[in-house]
Amino acid sequence: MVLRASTIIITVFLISPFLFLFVDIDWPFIISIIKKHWQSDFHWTSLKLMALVSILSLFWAIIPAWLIASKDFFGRSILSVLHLMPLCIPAYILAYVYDGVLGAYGTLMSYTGVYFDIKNIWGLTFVLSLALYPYVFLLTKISFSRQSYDLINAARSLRQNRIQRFAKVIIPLSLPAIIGGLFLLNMEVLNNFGAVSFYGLKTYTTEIIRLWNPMDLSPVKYLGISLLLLLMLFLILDYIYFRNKEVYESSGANVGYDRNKLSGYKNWLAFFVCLLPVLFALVLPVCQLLIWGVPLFIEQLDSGFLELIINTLAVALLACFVCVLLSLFLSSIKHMLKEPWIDKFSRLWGLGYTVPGVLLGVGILLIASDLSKLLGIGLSLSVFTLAAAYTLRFNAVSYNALDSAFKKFPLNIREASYNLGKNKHHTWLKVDLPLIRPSLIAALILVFVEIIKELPLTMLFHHFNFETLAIRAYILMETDGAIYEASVPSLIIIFISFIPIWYLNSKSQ
Amino acid sequence: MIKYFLSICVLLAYLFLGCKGSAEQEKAEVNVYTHRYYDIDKDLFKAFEEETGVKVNVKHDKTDKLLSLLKAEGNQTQADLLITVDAGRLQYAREMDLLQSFKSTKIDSNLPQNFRDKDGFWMALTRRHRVIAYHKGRLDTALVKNYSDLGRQELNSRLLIRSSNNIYNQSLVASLIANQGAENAYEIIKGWVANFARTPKGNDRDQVKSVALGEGDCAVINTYYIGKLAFSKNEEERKAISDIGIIFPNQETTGTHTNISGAAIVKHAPNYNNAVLLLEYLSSLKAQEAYAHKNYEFPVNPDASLPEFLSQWPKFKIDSLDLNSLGYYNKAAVELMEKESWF
Amino acid sequence: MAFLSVNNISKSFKEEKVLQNLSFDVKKSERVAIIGGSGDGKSTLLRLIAGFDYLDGGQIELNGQIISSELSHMAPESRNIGMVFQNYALFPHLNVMENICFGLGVDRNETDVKKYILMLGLEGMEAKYPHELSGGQQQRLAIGRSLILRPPLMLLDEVMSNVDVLNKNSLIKDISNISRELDLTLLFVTHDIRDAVALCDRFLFIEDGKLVQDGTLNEIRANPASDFIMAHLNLIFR
Repeated sequence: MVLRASTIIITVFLISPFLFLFVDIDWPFIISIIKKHWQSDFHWTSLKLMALVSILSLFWAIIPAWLIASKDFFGRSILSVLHLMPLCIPAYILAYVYDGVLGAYGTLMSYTGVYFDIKNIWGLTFVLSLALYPYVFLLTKISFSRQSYDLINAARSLRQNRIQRFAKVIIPLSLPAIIGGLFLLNMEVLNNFGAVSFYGLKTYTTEIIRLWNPMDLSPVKYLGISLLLLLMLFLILDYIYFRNKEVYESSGANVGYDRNKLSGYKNWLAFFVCLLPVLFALVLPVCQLLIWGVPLFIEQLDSGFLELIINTLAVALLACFVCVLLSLFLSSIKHMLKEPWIDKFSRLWGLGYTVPGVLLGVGILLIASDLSKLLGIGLSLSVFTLAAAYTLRFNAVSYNALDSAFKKFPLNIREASYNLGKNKHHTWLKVDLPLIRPSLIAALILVFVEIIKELPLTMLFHHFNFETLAIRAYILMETDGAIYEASVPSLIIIFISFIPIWYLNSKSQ
Repeated sequence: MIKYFLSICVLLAYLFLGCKGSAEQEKAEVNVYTHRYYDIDKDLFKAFEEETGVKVNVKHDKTDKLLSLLKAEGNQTQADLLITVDAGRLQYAREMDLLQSFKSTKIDSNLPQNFRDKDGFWMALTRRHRVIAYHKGRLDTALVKNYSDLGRQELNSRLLIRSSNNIYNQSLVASLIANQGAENAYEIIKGWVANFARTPKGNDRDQVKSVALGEGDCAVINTYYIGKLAFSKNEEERKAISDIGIIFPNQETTGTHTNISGAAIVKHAPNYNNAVLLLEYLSSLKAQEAYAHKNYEFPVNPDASLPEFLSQWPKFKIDSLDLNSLGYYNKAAVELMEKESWF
Repeated sequence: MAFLSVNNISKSFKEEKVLQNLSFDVKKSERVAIIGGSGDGKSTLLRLIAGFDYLDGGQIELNGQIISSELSHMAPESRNIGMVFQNYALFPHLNVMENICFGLGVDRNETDVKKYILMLGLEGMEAKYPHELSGGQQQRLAIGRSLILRPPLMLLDEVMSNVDVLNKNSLIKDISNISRELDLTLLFVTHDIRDAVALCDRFLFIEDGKLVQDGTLNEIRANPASDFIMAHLNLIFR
């Protein structure tokens, strides 16, 4: 009973910012704004940007993911880690760095006198795809490496050549993973403000900021609602397409490739194909940041900077523990009770991650405004406010990691424990928890890395004198274009998230 | 496993409760919500701390978000001072009932009447003027005397200006509406948009750089960006600025558009006295000269001296419009720009 | 003249020798069972013939052409050999119809497809996905999509192990009829001699990667070469 009640309370907590988008809406007004903005080009720009970034990210991700999953070649294992590392670099930092390299009065211009104006949709596509393709890479690689080798052999015995096998078997089998990766990627594209506004484009998020009128947030509410409707459309399409094909996970023997060793020119070709995205997304920008940042390191590394690092780490750790504990509770409840209504509720638990962070922030502000009007108790900023906001947003990340681990439990393992006379609590402690442990660590790390980079919620809800590295980097770039100074906090962000991702990858191999 | 988990959580929780508790006991502080994040602000706050022993706590964000936050916080807020980069938004804050009026003879003597709210709800910190930067070799200055001249056909696709999202542009248009009426303002905007060299992007600094690189001949920017570029750490940027000249528009009519970076005291401010203390400090001669010398903004204290860089510019007539009207006409301005689909 | 000729082949994985100097010939239209315990290398033998693995020594000829040797290796997709896998290896993202037609080009013969669907008892299920079929139906589908390409040689890898007893007999009967009708050469790997006797005329016993005995049922019964073979024979003659 207590468990069920708390599940309901947590669910309400998780979706409350969205409920408040729909509270006291002036529908005729909303409709008039819809009419007014319908022709506005930000809808179109958002969709176009999402499509372009998706295409380019597939280009960066698919071939390397397949090579790394199915072949053995020079540098394979190190490259497989390096492809995850761009996750450590926030997109806005990459955007500023590339403008600093290629743009007016940038590095390239100082050597050659040539510059490229990359502040347009193509430049932004390039930058965002580099920052975000690891989402596609990661899920696709996992899916490729779990593919049944028998299926590929079956296709060979049915006279299908290499290209036919790729197009008719390998890609379609991994389609759910690819789409899952693209979904995450597009959420991030929609969420991005720093890079998009710096490159002069209009998307839902920049429009939310532009229309943000503190006296009247209804235009923002409208945008939130239309965005939620768009998301719903995507989810429905996804559901319709995959509804009949739930058994994608191959069962039986011969899962995974033998990874035969490539030799000669093929070896080097595979190496270079896999190196290319890493070069653009990681090596080049980090080198540039180092060139800018190293001379400033001593100058900036004072006690204030140490505080900055401690703040960042402390709030990230606190929030990721809260987040993972909550997800552990929710996923355990779902998989132990196995009640259909909880299953339905569980679809709402990830909502916070599917909308831009700014919109979530608006929702929280709306709740607090109404509460302060009703009860006289408003929002109070502290590290806990921030942790709560992070939990609302990133619960999806940790929940999904734990949920998929629960789904892979050996069949009837809990029943075996019950049968041996252990009650539910004991079973949870002695069976569920040990089995879920690696995923708990993975969930912690994933949430941690997300929080380190997070910007819109941190900006809104951090309290006095509590800056994080991400804020410092962003403000330095934003207010003065002081990209040199910003390179120091940027490098530390990259470095801090580098370590756990490296650890996670080495654990999973 | 679970034991580690819980103990770490409890530890962290205590750690932060401890921090927060000790922070609340200390009352010798003033909490600032600010849209300004220049090095000069940090330096001034530090100097203030040393002089008075009152600690300055800062949170930075865009004004609009800070206002929403203040509204959500209600009487729970810890903020004492709100600092914006625009007069119109101060007017907004007052309309939202987020501010309280303050009285200080020091401030009254430091600042002239037009840089203080007549009801005592805000004061100016610095003034900024929206001027026209042009390429000395490519633009005939006889062509451009007023803001409206930027719409002349001779300047077709030669004009650079940042996005209409930007509050400086919104307030410029609001001042045009206030001074010349909505219809004239609309004609002016129409002319500008027709002359855009490209879709607006980047900040004022980028507009100047683009003029130097030949993407356009003139750009609408705030004065202090010229100073920042002239003293940039990047040698290329310093070189770029040498070809750039400045026009102060509307000298024979209303004067060059004037906006302010301003400060106000929050309605539920827990540390009212310290907030007034800080405002007095920021209006003092010392602070005002620091704004001018370090950040190339114009001081609002008439006694403050200008750095050589600013004093070499000719004396120019400034717009004496009531700054509150920038707030009154903001909505109309945004609508005008939207109507002309100024990006 | 032999249709398939396996000549002195060896294969090891890491240090473990899976097949050692194995040789046998198969004539056209012959139906041969390969019987052995688990881990005796019989599946490896099929994979070598199909071309999924590379052999370490010896050579395999099909129709007089060398398809696998130490020096050369013909790609599996060009060998024209049908293979049915133990776990079916059906494409989970394709329905029955799409699975059947997987190997066919765009110029496929619709009546031909219908004939095979009818022959395998899959009519009415064309739009279903593999996970919606029973074990026996899945196996029929796996056989059908290979048969439709009319490979002269079919390799069946433990195809009965996941089919329940009641369906087994009818499936064996169907395979038997079809292979006779299409004049197929069959190589049937199994661990259970009872499945083999209903389908095959000739029996190869493999133990520890070596060929122990080769002959018809009567020949083997007359002179079983090992205790292992005796034990198998006892299952059918008691």
